[in-house]
Amino acid sequence: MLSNPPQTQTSKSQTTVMLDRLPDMPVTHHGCSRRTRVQLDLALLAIEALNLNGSQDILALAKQLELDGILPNRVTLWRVRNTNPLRRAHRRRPMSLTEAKALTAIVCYMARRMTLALRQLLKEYQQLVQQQLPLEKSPQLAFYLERFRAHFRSRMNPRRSAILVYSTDEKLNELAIALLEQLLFCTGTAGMQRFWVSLFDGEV
Amino acid sequence: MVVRRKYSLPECTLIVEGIGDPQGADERSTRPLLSVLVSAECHLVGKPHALTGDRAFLEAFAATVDRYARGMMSGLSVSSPPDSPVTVEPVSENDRANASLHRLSVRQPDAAEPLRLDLTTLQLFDLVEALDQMLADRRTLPDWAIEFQPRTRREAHNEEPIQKRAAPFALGASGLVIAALALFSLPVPEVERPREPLPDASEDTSELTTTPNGDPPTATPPDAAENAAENTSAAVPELDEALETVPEITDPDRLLALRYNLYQDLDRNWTTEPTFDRDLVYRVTVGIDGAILGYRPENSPARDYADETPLQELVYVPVEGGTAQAESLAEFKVVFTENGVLQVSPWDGYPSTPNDPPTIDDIATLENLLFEVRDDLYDEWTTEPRFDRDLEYRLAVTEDGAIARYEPLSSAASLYFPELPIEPLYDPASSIVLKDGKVNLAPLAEFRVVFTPRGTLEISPWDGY
Repeated sequence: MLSNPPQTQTSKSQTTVMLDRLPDMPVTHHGCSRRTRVQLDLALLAIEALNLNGSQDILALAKQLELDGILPNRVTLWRVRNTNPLRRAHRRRPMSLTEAKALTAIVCYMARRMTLALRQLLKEYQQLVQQQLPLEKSPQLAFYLERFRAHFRSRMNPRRSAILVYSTDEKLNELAIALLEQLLFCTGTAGMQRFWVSLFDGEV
Repeated sequence: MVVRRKYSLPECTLIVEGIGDPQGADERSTRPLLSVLVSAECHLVGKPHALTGDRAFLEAFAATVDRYARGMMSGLSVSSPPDSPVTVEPVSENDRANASLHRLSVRQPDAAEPLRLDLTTLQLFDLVEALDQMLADRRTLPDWAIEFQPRTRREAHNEEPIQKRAAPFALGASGLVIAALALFSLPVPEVERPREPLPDASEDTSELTTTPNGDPPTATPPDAAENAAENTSAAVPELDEALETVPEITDPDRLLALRYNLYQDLDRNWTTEPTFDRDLVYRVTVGIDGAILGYRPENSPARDYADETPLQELVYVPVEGGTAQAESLAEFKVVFTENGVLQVSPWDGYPSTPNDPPTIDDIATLENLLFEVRDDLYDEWTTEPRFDRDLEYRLAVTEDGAIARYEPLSSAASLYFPELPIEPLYDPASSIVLKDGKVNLAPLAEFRVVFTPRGTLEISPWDGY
């Protein structure tokens, strides 16, 4: 249906080329900004809500894309994701540009694999909204939203003011849908570059 | 040679027609090179009108749609390029049935009214994707490529939607008054509390003595005062015994930490407006964990007005009854002055001068913290600056990024405090840490922060790098 199907075989040079397509951004030696860190972690959270095997698949993909030099194991992945200041287990540690690029590639490749599901969920969402029906009418959508809310609530620090905004199911659903839309745009031909640049929009 | 290319997606089809360049033959591809665009057509499923135009139109179209898509990905609002014949904006969020639609408006030269199409997210995505595929196609218009560049802080700021920016301006006129009033609630170490004018002392006494021996709400008759004092400070006789057996804290650093902790506790909870007109002096006993174990009034107003202080409610009463056992104790002199100032000092003074409070000296921690604080401040700073000059502050910050103390460095800085993002991050209690059941002062890092009227902030270590 779409061009650029997910590549299953990637040579080392292709990996380098892939990350090189993401231009370096002017960050300080303290690494990526807060918004970059939050956005990347939330995109991965949505992927985990869509894919029951999310965290295993993310690691397997890192290996397949030969990003295991940057993200060798679960602990490193966890540490990098915990640079998101909104997490309960937040650790003050910088996220390097290379780590951010690796996560960007992972988000986009995972999103491409889920293109059909993303399109289907957004289509159902659109129809329900237009008919003014509750989102729970769609079992698939309800399942995704429920998993997303559970992931979000168990991992984010409820005392941060940025999290207080999402105290209701309705607000969290809105965020979950916005992330679906974001992931859909990640699946496109220029999705990875556009996503990468959007992470630094208004920051440079 | 006319070349026609079609980029098909489920919801959108883009057809471009142009002139093939025979010079552009390439051994890697048999497809002719489309180098000059004659016309482009865009069909969206379910929309009767096709969008058509030349290269200038297609470029404007692609630029607008790309910006909008990037805005959707970043979650930041992005306006369409000014003067573009094509604009995209979200359909009003209040319109529940049309939420998550995107309104594409195209100004066409031969039509009076712009053409308006409401696209679903899927349609919008397929439109973006069709354009991206065309741009990525090396055999179609190879001289044209989209340049991906994030917007600068400034550009993003200037593009905030008008409604969002207009709100602070609308408040502008009354803003100064509010700012001035809000100054009274500025937390400074010693707060002048607003108080009601009091009747003079003689009137006060006569009123007290004529009160029937019931239970007056604000004051205790002098003859009942002794009993009241016995009741409110019931723990004291036992405490005196305790003081003989339990070692007294003499470490000046610990005393300093306990003093700060006691001050915070009392200050936070002293909410009753004073009606007394003489200072209330208490001797307060505190455990090494900071708990208030007992207190004794040291002058008669302290006995009479004890219920206007937060002491009674703050005394630690063990669950199992009796008095609290502490491994060591310290005594403090606490004065609630009639003009609303709280003073706390060690009863016998410091045995020796306490060391300076601990600071965060590790350069790496300091630098990480600096960026953390900067991010937090930006995060909380959502209003358009109304001030016209740089506002400087000195901030003391804990390792967790909480602002334990702040100090405006100019009168303008304190005047515009309500506009600044400091308050949400301010937590004076954060400078106290309980470690192994003992009160300690948390190490702090000091920063100089400059808030500029452009909406940016500059932060640097107070002592320089």
